[in-house]
Amino acid sequence: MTASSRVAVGRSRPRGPAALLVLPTALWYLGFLIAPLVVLLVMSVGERSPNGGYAPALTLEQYGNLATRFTPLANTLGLAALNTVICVLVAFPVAYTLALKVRGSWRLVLVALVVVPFWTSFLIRTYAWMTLLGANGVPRILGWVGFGDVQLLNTPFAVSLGIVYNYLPLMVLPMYVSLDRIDRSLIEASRDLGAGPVATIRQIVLPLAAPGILSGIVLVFIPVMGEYLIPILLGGGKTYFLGNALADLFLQSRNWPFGSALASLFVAGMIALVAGYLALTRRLVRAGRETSLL
Amino acid sequence: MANQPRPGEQRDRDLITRLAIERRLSRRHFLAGTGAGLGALALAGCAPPAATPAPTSGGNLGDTLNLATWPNYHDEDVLNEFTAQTGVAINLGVYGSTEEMEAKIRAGNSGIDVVVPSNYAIEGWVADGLIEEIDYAKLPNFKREDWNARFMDQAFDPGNKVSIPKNWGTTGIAYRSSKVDDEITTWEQFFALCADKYAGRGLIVDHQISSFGSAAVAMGYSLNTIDPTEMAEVEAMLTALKPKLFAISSDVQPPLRALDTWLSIAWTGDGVQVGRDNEDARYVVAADGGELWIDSFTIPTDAPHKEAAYAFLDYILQPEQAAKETEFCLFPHANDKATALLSSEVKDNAVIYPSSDSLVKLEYAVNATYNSAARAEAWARIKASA
Amino acid sequence: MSAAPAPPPATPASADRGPLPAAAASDIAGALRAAALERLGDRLTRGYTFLVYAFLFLPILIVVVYSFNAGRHVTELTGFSTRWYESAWSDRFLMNALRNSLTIAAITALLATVMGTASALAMDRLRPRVRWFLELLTYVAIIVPGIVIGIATLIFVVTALDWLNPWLAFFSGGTAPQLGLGAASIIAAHTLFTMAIVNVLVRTRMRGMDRSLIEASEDLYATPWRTFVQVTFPQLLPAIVSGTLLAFTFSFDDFIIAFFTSGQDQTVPIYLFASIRRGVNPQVNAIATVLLTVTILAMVTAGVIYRRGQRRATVSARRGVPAAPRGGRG
Repeated sequence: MTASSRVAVGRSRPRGPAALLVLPTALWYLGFLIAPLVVLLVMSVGERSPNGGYAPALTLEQYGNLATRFTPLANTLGLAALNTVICVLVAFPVAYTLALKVRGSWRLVLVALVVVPFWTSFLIRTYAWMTLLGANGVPRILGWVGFGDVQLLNTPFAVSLGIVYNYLPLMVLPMYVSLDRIDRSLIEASRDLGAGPVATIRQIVLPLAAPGILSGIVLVFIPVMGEYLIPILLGGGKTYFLGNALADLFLQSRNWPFGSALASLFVAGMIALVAGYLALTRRLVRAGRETSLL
Repeated sequence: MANQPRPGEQRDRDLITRLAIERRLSRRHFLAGTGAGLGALALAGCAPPAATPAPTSGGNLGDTLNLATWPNYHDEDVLNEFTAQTGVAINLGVYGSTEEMEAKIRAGNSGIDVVVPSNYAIEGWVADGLIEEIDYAKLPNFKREDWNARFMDQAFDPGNKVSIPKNWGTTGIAYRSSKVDDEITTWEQFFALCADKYAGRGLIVDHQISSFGSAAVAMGYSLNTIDPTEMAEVEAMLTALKPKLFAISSDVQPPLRALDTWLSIAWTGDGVQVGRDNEDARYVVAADGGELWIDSFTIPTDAPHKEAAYAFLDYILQPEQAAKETEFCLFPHANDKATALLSSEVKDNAVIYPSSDSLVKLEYAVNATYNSAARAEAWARIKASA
Repeated sequence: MSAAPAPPPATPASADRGPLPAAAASDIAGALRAAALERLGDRLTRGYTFLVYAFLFLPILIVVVYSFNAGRHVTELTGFSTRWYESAWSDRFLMNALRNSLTIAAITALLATVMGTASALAMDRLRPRVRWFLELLTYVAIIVPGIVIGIATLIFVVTALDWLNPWLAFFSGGTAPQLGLGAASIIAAHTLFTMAIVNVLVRTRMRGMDRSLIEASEDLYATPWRTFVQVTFPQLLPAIVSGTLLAFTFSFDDFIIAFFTSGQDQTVPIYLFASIRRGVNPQVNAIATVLLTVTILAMVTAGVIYRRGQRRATVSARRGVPAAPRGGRG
């Protein structure tokens, strides 16, 4: 909220009704966000009971073991960052084409088509990729042209492919919305002043598209960090993510305290990452609008 | 670590349970591996009935039964027939491991009415009051004399107080002989082939007992090992093997069928089901040992539809229904009457009903193994490794 | 698929845009070369965009094709058949899961929209410190990974029920049903996350909103409610609608939160996960194809209605539509 817009709302109004409107949301946060996270924190200083589950205690032992989950952390951070970047690179030309090169009703259709895959169910899309990448899919075709014995399924490549495939629309849409707002006369002006295409993109299009790109990054990066299914279905349980390590601790080891410690650290890490990112982008994107999470 | 024995336990119960285990475990590993299990066993033996069965309205079964079970385990027709007879619709929940079932049961208020865990979980569940004592008066069709003594009255549930077997089976090796030209007979060979000759083609199940245990057997240790040094060796071996595997996944059948994977740890029924559709598929019980298991019907203490649960057990344990289920899932059944009703194709299939000789070296996993925090963590670390 | 370096998209073709500037006219050859380069760039970006769409729809095409395949396994394309549609339709559990999913998604979308919008409207009027705290919680609700929400909700709900159920039984004399996990706990967790998203979307929109209209309305002594209905709400509508759609989609497609908090109530993703686990079940392809068809039909309908609305209201300020003025559009 900037000072100026606050001034615009400026008149003092009774706060009673406002509080009433916020109340359900506040209660929801209390009951289903704060309380569960507090329970997680409490459990994280407990012990695993002999047959599994939670036993009350006050120890930091669980936090001491967190280093054993470094690989999933590295996998998650590395692949989430890498694939977010790939999403940006793949999506930008598409959003650019949609916003500035396609006209009339075609544009509406094409934008709608970006959303359609979302409606076929994440699991079914991913399952289709399992078929495509499995021995009877692409590797068989590769075999016909002389590349025998290529394994695609259950590799980090397959995991990356699944992530880019599933999250690409979340990158294209906000980019498109930003680019769509660009005044074409600016581009023309740039060209008329003798700027080449690359310079125009860099100096006019990119800065104006930045808010959309930044939203897209947040929209893709956050859910990918918590990804669980893709590493299981396309990674064969070999490229482990934090989500998988976490689920294991609750479902297999039944070590709730350790799981809670890992989850607490996960949440804290995510908040720190996003806060840092927002602070950084807030400085970068002074022009135009204020930044917000989405 | 598992429960410490409490003072003042019945000595003879202790003795019986110990003998029961010793029958199946070589002495060396018994001493190393299951000392702690005794406590758990004994504790289970003297634990009070988990809770007094809640008084339920007699006769009224309700309209739903929530069944927590394994994939490809129940004949849809058998379940539908039950619904037709009683009006109770069966909501089938499919789980990849006993651990996952326990996660729900242990959290409480799960809504599950009947759950089908493997043998090794049961003592812990009894000790913590998660499942209730079966009221056999509510099972008029249950005839104890029909059941094979080898699978009844086991150490994990003396007198079948809380559990009745569904099917039993082995954890063996399934492979496609069109791709694998070695004849695989032992776990040692299996893991060696996965690591080298067939790198990228081997699969181990996402199941601590079966995978970690079989790897332990391959290295000459007990399936039930919880000895720190032995476990460290097994962990090192599996951690090194992991990058060379096709997958760690309990979904054995799809990749085996598609030839994504050529050799795999598998349970009897999976091996036979794949073998039925693919001539070159083999299923073998390893000669160097491995796991023998029993899955049993149990009723959670907080089951919301207990009357329906009893009606269901009474129905599905009848030899005719049990036989149909076995024809479907192709795991051997512990009810001899049911076995007698099977087609000769199933009954005389040496893979489904292996000779007693081939089972001699197999072990049941025990509760101490299953509940060992160190072993669960070792397995979790393997899965979380690079 | 890798990040093919994007061909430098060229600036728009200039033919229809008036006279060339004098500077360019002096070098016609250069201009022509630039135009040719632009056309090439256009062609490349279009070809590239087409490839990305092919990538997006390839797996979906596979799903649709196999939903009509008579064979059980993907390895056998044996002929055309609608058997999987019939068996999906008669699968009680699949239909039950579908019903559950639709109900859960609808309730989630409704709750998230109402609460998210209401709180967004009111937040600016709160004391700064309270507002800051609510903003923080909203962000946290979005940032916390779904799997953590699922696990934390599971643990919290069962803990709370362990305490609550005996009391319920006590006060009702044992007749109250045991409360357990189920649709309600899924809705609670889904609403948390989606409500926060609606809140952020609406607040972002509010910032970009034309305040003068609200002030004018207030200056004309409209009641706050009238101002809201006639001025504020129409301006916020696009954000609210996209929030609702997002909430519904997210809830309908969520696996991980439902996996932990569902109790015995199955949803479509949970059913699908179990099916994949059990092996091949071509019924899921049929269901996916039906969902896809319904979606496309809904979109076409929405598109038609939208266009008709646009035609009718070309004069009115189209603040709701994120459309920038565009040159050369006739």
